[in-house]
Parts: sequence; structure tokens; C-alpha cells
Amino acid sequence: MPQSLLRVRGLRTEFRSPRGSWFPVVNGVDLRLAAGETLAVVGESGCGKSMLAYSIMRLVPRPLGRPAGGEVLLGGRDLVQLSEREMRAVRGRDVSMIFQEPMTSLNPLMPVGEQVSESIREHESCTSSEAARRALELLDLVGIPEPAKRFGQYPHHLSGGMRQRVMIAIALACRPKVLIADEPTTALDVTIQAQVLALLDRLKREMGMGIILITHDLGVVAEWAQRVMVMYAGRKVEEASAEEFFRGPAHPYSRALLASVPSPELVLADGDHELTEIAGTVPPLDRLPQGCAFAGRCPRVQDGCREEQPALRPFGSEGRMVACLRADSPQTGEIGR
Amino acid sequence: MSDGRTRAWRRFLRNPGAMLGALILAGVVALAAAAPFLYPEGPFEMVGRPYAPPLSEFLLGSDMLGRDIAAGIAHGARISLLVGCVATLVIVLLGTLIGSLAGYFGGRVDSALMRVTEFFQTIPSFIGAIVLVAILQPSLASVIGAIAIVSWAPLARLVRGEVISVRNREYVQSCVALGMGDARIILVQILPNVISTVVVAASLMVATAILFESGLSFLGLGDPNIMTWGFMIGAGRAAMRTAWWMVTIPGIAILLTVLAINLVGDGLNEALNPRLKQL
Repeated sequence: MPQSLLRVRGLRTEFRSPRGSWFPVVNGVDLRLAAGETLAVVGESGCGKSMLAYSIMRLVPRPLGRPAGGEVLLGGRDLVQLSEREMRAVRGRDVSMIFQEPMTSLNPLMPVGEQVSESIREHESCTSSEAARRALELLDLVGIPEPAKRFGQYPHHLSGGMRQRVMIAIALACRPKVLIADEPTTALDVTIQAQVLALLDRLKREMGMGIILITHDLGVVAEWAQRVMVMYAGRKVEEASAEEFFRGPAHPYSRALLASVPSPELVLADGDHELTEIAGTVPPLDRLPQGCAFAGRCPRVQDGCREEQPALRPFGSEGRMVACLRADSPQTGEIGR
Repeated sequence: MSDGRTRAWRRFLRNPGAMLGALILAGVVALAAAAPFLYPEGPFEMVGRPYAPPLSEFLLGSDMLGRDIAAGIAHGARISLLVGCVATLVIVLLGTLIGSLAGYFGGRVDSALMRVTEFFQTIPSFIGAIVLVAILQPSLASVIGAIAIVSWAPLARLVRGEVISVRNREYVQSCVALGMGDARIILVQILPNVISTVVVAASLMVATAILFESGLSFLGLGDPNIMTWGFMIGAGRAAMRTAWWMVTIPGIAILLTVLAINLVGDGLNEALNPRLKQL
């Protein structure tokens, strides 16, 4: 396994329930990200994907939420321990983030080129003409045609795909080591999606970044990610290389997610073609049942599942993890060694 | 210049009410600017027969001490505009500062600042201004200060509301995610989006400040060494039945100026209205 760029250990973030007690929305998550790697974080809405991203960036909304332990190691430093001022210097320079909605993620009253140079000047002392020159290069780098013309235009002049490219230019302005992309293409139409993801992939390789790609689109995962991490109810329930994941997901939740995707390429190895929805919804995080959080919806539930939370354990090949009591039972013939 | 701005300008120029207001206002400004040349002897000089009606000895008549009312109107315009603009400037600075801090930081900062704001809002503003001027001694500065102190609170609330709505938009969130500092986000990212609301509110505030100043000097709480429209009305009040022009002419001056400013303010509101701006 290559040297890891970012290591997250036991990260925990809590929210306050209406009744005033605190409950975890990110519950002891570990992850590692290597340079040049794309780690996809998948799961349904409300399973803690975005909160994981915000927790790494230390952008958990207060006073609704609070950090509650864990460490985020980047370049030998634990981001959790940094002061707010030090953390501000890390954001954008070492870790950057792009958001889902390119329509609202740009300031409507500022020319896009200025927004790019603004983010350069935030972290590096350079003259405004130097920043403008680099902003122009960045716009060119992210594949915006006629960057000099686009530079002075406002966001409403640009299409959604162009805006997302500008967002990427802003996020990459200071060549961050880690880019967190929170559903970067959900708001874009399919052909533009592919272009934007190809762009991210190219820039990742050119700059040697690591990308954490948060998505619920398994098609995107299959195409662009090297590793997959499945989250459910704030916990990591499975981690695998993308290849193994699509060959045979170990956790029943992962299987259910895959089975609910209407894509011909994503047929399960055991020939289970049928498109099925996952019955029920994610249980409210402030009233999680005892035991495995997925037990209530799991087709393979057994008695032990409701007693205690199954621990995440190594499973099969190197680096593969699963948190399920029943993952031993062969599901695809090749699992379980 | 952006399309939005040029379009806003065009909308403003096409609005007949706003143009009329702007015309009248330009006239008042020109009069104020020309006052020292038109009436170099000043508004307090007794230049002729008292109680002269308009269009006789003087264009707008004279008052009971033989002072030229036209000179008073011209010099009074300077004071009205000065008070209106400076008071509004102070109000805008104070209101924007407090409103944006409260809206941006939220939580305890917001609660504390909003309690202070509410405290000021509960004071009846004109009575508050009278008390302040009485305590501080009447002078131009104390009048401006008093008007600002009793008027900033509503603007602070307005700015706070706007800042909260902009603060939660994604581009501000993404600036936080890019490590931008608080001051920079407020100044560069948020305030430009709030400015059109402030401009509209401020333009109407100029008119209110002029009315306040006139009211205060009518009550004798103006600077005694400065000729103002309110003071002229107050002084002419005793002779209202015999010499109508002494109160009517400064009254019309106030009316026209305030009306003009309101027309301009409404025109700005329509031109800068964010809902229309998107079209």
C-alpha cells in the first residue's frame, strides 16, 4: 500500500438532538488516503458522508454539532489539535473542498477570474497581477475555453459545467494535497458529469493529489474510484478496493446499494440482476437501535445482529474491512477465502 | 461595468418619478452650492424692510427682522443636506457594522448585539433625539449625533437579516472551506451582496434625517448660530396669520426636498430590487 497522505482515526462528530442530548453523526470513522488515489465515500442521504467531510475540514456547523474526538493526520500534523487560525491556513492550501451546487457556490457579484485570484491571494502573498496571471492559467488548466474572455465574466454568464470548472479552479488554486469533492457532479447533466470527473482525474494525476469523492452514484464510483468506503448511520461498514467491491460487496447494505442501481455494467457476480429498493429508511441517528444499525432493514439479519454493534474487521484481502457478523457466509463464492 | 449595473441604471433613468426627484434634488444641491455666492452677506443679515411679502422688495419676502427669506432658504439647504448626508453616513456605518457582525457570527454575538439594538428601537426616536440634543447642548454635531443614535437600530436589523441569508449561501460556505478569513469574507463576499438594500434604506434615511433636523430646530434645539429651515418656521410661527410666507416657504422647501429624496429612494429600490435584477 502506498504511503498515506491523509489518515483519519476514530473521528467522531456529534449533533444535539431536540431533546438536548448528543448523538453521533460520524461515529469512529477511520480512513486513509494515498497520493494519487480517489477514495469514494458512498451511502444513502443522511448516513454521514457530508458530515465526515465537514469533520475533516473542521466545518461542522455550530452550535448544532460538535467534534467529539479522533484525529486527522495530514503531513505530520493532527488537524483536530490546530487552532482555528492554523486550521484556516490549512483549508484551501492543504485540504480543499468543492461543493455540490455550482449554481450557488460562486459569488454572483464578482467576476469569476477575480474569485479565483482571490483564493490564491488568501494563502500566498503575491501581487494582484501575479494572482490574476495564475488565475488565468488555472482557468485554462480546468479546460475553460477562452479563459481571458471568461475571466471578467460573472457566474450568470457561465453554464453549470463551466461554473463547476471554476469551482475546481478555485479549490485547486493553491495545489492542495487533498481535495474533498462533495457530490461534485450531482447537479450537472450526465455528459458534463463525465467531463468534470475526467478533469478531476487528470488533475489528480498531474498534481499528485488525493481525492475523497463523496457520492451516491455508484456508476461514478465504478468508473473513477480506486477504493470505496461505505457508510451507514455514521459508521464505516465496509471498505474495499473498487474492483473487489463491485466484484462482491461483503456487507448486506453494500449489496443492497448495488442491487438498487439500474445499470447493466453493475450486475452482481452471482447474477442477481433484479433491481431492488432497500426497504425502509436510515433510522434516525438519535434513536439508533441496539446492535447493528442496519439490522432492521437487513435481509440476512440473525439473532446476534441486534445485540451488539459488529466491529469493523479485516476481511479477505489486504486493506479490506467489513462490519457485519454474517459477512463470513459466502455470498459470491470467492469471499471468505 | 456589469450588465446588472447598467441595467439597473437604465431602469432608474426610465422611471419618471425618480427622474423628477433627481431633478428637484439637483436643484436643491445647486442652490446649496451657490448660496455663498448668491447671498454672500449670510442669512442673518437684516437687509431690508421687515414683513415684506414675496415678489416685492425680495424674491421670497422678508421676515419680522427684515432678513431675506431667500437667503435663509439657500443657506438652510446647505445645513439640511449636510445633516441629512452626514447623519445617514454615520447611521450606515454603525448599522452595517453591527448588523453584519451580528448576522455573520450569530450565536452569542448576535444575541448580545440584537438586545442592544432592541434597546435603541424601544426609544421613541424623536423624543430620544430631543433629550440627547438637550443634554449635549445644541450644535450641528450634537444634532447629527442624536439623529444617528436614534436611527441606526432598524438599519442594523435590516443588514443582519440580509447578512444571515447571504452567509448561508454556498459560495460563502465554500470561502470558509477555502480558508478565507472572517473579515475578508464579510467585506469581499457578503457586503457587496447587501449593499443595494443598504443604499435604498440609506436614501430614504436622508429624508428622515432632514425632517428630524427641521423638527429639532423648529423646537429651538438647533444650533443657534446656523440658519435652518426648521428654525425659520419656528421663528415665523408667531406671525403666521399676518405673514404666511415666513412659514410656508421654508415648509415648501422641506416638503420638496424630502419628497425628492423619497422619489429617488423609491426609484433606486425599483432599480436595484434583487428580484427584478435577476430578469
